[in-house]
Amino acid sequence: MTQLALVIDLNVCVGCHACVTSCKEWNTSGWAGPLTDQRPYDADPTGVFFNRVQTYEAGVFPNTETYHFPKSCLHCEDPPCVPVCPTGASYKREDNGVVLVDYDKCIGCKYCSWACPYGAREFDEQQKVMKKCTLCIDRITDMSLPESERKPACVLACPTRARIYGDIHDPDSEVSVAIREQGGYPLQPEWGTKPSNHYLPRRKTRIQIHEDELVRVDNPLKKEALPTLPEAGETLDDVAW
Amino acid sequence: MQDPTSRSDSDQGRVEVKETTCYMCACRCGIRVTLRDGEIRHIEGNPDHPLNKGAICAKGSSGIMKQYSPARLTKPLLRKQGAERGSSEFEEISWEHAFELIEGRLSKIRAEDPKKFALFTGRDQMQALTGMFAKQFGTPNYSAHGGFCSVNMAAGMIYTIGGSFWEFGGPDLDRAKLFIMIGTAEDHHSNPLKIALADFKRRGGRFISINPIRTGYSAIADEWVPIKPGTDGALIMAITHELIKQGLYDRDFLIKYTNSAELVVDDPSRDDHGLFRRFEMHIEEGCFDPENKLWWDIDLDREISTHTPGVDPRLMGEFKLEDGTPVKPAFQLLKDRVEEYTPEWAAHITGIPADTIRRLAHEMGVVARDQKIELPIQWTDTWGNDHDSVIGNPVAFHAMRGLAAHSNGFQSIRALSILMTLLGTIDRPGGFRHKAPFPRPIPPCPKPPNGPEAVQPNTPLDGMPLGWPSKPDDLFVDEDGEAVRLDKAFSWEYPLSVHGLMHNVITNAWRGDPYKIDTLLLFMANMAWNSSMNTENVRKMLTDKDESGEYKIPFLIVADAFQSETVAFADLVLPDTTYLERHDAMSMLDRPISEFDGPVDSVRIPVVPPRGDCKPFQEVLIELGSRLGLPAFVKEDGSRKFRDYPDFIVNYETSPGSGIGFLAGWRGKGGEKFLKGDPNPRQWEMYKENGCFYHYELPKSYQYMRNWNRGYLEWARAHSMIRYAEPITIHLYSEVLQRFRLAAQGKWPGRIPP
Ligand code: SF4
Ligand code: SF4
Ligand code: SF4
Repeated sequence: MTQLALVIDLNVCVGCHACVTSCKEWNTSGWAGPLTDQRPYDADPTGVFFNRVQTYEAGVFPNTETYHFPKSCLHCEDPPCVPVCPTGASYKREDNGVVLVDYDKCIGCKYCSWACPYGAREFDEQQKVMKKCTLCIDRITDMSLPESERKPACVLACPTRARIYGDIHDPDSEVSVAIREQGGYPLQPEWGTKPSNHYLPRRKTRIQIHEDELVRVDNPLKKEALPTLPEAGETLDDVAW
Repeated sequence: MQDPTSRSDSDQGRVEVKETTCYMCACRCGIRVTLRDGEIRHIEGNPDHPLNKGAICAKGSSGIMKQYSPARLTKPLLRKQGAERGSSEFEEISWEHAFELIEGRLSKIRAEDPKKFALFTGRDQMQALTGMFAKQFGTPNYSAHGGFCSVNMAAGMIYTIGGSFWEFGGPDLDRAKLFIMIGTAEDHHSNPLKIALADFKRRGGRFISINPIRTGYSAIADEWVPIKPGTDGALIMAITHELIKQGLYDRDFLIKYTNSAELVVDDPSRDDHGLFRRFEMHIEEGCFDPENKLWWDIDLDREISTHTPGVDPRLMGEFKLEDGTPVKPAFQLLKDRVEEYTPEWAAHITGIPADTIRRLAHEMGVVARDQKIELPIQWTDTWGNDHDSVIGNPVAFHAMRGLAAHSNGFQSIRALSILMTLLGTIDRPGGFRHKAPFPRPIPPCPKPPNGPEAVQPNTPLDGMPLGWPSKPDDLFVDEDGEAVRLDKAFSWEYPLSVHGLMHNVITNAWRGDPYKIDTLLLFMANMAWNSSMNTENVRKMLTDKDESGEYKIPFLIVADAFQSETVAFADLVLPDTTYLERHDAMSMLDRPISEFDGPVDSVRIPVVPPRGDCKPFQEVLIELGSRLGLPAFVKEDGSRKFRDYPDFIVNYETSPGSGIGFLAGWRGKGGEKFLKGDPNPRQWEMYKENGCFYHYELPKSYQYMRNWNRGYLEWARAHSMIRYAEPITIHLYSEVLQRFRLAAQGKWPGRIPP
């Protein structure tokens, strides 16, 4: 069975919110819209988002790291938000594993958002129904789009290409390879929800400069008839044998 | 709820997709706008665009919020009779009425004293047109917002290496192995840098970010080095100190391609102290560095003319020329200068431990020296030497306003340029690379006028309102040394303010210092809010009156798309369009969107009609230019020359028959030429068919070492991008600055300060 998902690379995500606004813009006037806004041009604007970037300071000062953490529905393989729904509005598609809400059946009881351990669902205060990331179902299933564009809006927008999209059940897909080779992990696996979305961890590149690399026979200071530093005298390179 | 698979999005209404260029920031990405029944549905990146390759940022997608903003202006507004400035009491008027008012006022000013009209613009992406309008009008009082933004970045780098970051050059992250980013926010620049940075990290490159705060870019850095704001110069000087101390500089590069080995007179009692020792040579007058300077030959132990084949000169030491003149190589002056700037000294100023500073220097120096890249690209230098390859020292830098927007910004950025030069990274793979039309001579050729006689009634300004002084005599001052420009740019106070000083304008006009003006026209500049760093007082000045009850700044016209804070203070308001409603040209005459591999320019083509009575500011300028009879906008009989802005863009040439206009692509009658060629009536269509941009890829052998690449420089001259195919020697030592110092000491033979 296909399980579509996003793999988000925290090694390169710069927290730019491009995925947030492209998601909002695509979806608000599309199949799953509107993503209603309150006071969009005034002080204290608020509204529904399918995707938000949260920024955390992790660690203990002074050894801290800043993490930008984009979060949307994780399209869990065993989604706790589905069985709790009394009307069947919250469902998981059999063909591709995307978790969706049918607004026509939703009565706004919010059981699903209580059941979701990740806070991925947002209640629309105007329409009184529950909303969430659809994995851009109206893009990825739209056969009139060229294949290169049959991807979620956030994936196409992301300037650092931190968002990879594909089938995690296909071992050869880009997402599966990334999870396997780069230490991809699910969020809070202890809840047993088997989230489909995964995250790739930070990686650090360091350079080791050995002290002897500073001492070179071809040091240009020698050309100026000046002593080179550190004053190590002869080097092995100077000894001819 | 209907299943989305049964009906595709494009079945929901009349859907169209149009391509144009984003303007939510100054990055200018290619975008695709989806319209449904004429309304904007979605804005996405254009995957075929060389700049953003399909990416779009948070602002780019949000362009829709701007388009449908309730704060849009939709009608020309005139301050109500009797209403006070700042009270926002306006009456709606027609464009014809507005034009009559402006024409009446401006034609009188132009006939009497054109400098009493001032035109200042915000993050204006059409300075080639706004600047030209000011010049044609005859006023020197023009600039955009650069003076309080990144001018130090442009000036500090261009006065040193002949190019600068962002529009004119940047880090080659495709090949770099170590990348150091200093004082850069996420929009400088945006998508292209994010794309390149992420790829660089994925390839395992090492990324160090030096920044007081750890925001977006810094958060993913392999090492974040926090620094006290405004102290980057000290850090760079200490790194330079350490590199010289360890011998971690690219000696060969410094000798061949910079003025490091050139001999400078070293005798404070002499009038030519600090100037290069030059020998007599018949040279054409021009804005390039004549090669009439000296090296000190190691073998012969005497002076010799620079670039003499086979000669190895000294970078360090002090010598006496044959005629007894004491001299030092420019590099020795640098070494003397940074002697005291130890890592310990900088640690105290920057808050960065001395050991970290030393380690940073060692990482830079060792990677540059030991991880060289060699590309099998043949090229020929300006001295006629053929090279089989292009060498790169793969240490790349990027910096922006964190360095630039300080009172020490110019010198900090000169220090950074020198550091990049010491490592041998200029226009080489993995280092810094230029973007057309750069590199340019140091400093570039255009100069501001140098005296008040350049401003004459009913006459265009004799010179460009903005330029690049190379000596005190290029300053724009009168006989008494007083500034001619209202903002005092190019005066003794602000000699190298190459982008003008917009933030001085309202204060100076209010004070009448150096003189009073009549009309101030502001375009997309919110001076009463954030663009003057003096919000409260600017509001007072705009409403202040003299003894006779008249406003001290008599007439204020504001052109803007939105009800900005400044609009409230206007006498006349002109409603501009958004970027989605107009034509625009990101021109080679201004700041194009060139890539490392060659010139790129781009356009905007309207995707929706203007809202209400909005009119693009470009059309306003063309209309006013025609009504006022400014020479570039009218035929010989005084009749209107250009139907509208698109017509102007196609048909305007910098001089009759020059073949150079605003757009570089598809020139010539049938669009067969580029950069230079006759106007092409189908030029707009050709841009449209190509996603609104034109990209010319240079041959590989012209893509590197362009300051000294004969093939490139001759190509650039043949296509009128530069005037001389002469080497652009890096100014490790700035003789330009020394000329101003000598003038201050009364030793300069030309102009000296009052
Ligand atoms: S668009 Fe990409 S880089 Fe930006 S916040 Fe989203 S995931 Fe991160
Ligand atoms: S997949 Fe679509 S709906 Fe989900 S976060 Fe991305 S853009 Fe939003
Ligand atoms: S980075 Fe590109 S998409 Fe974003 S606002 Fe700037 S020009 Fe537009």
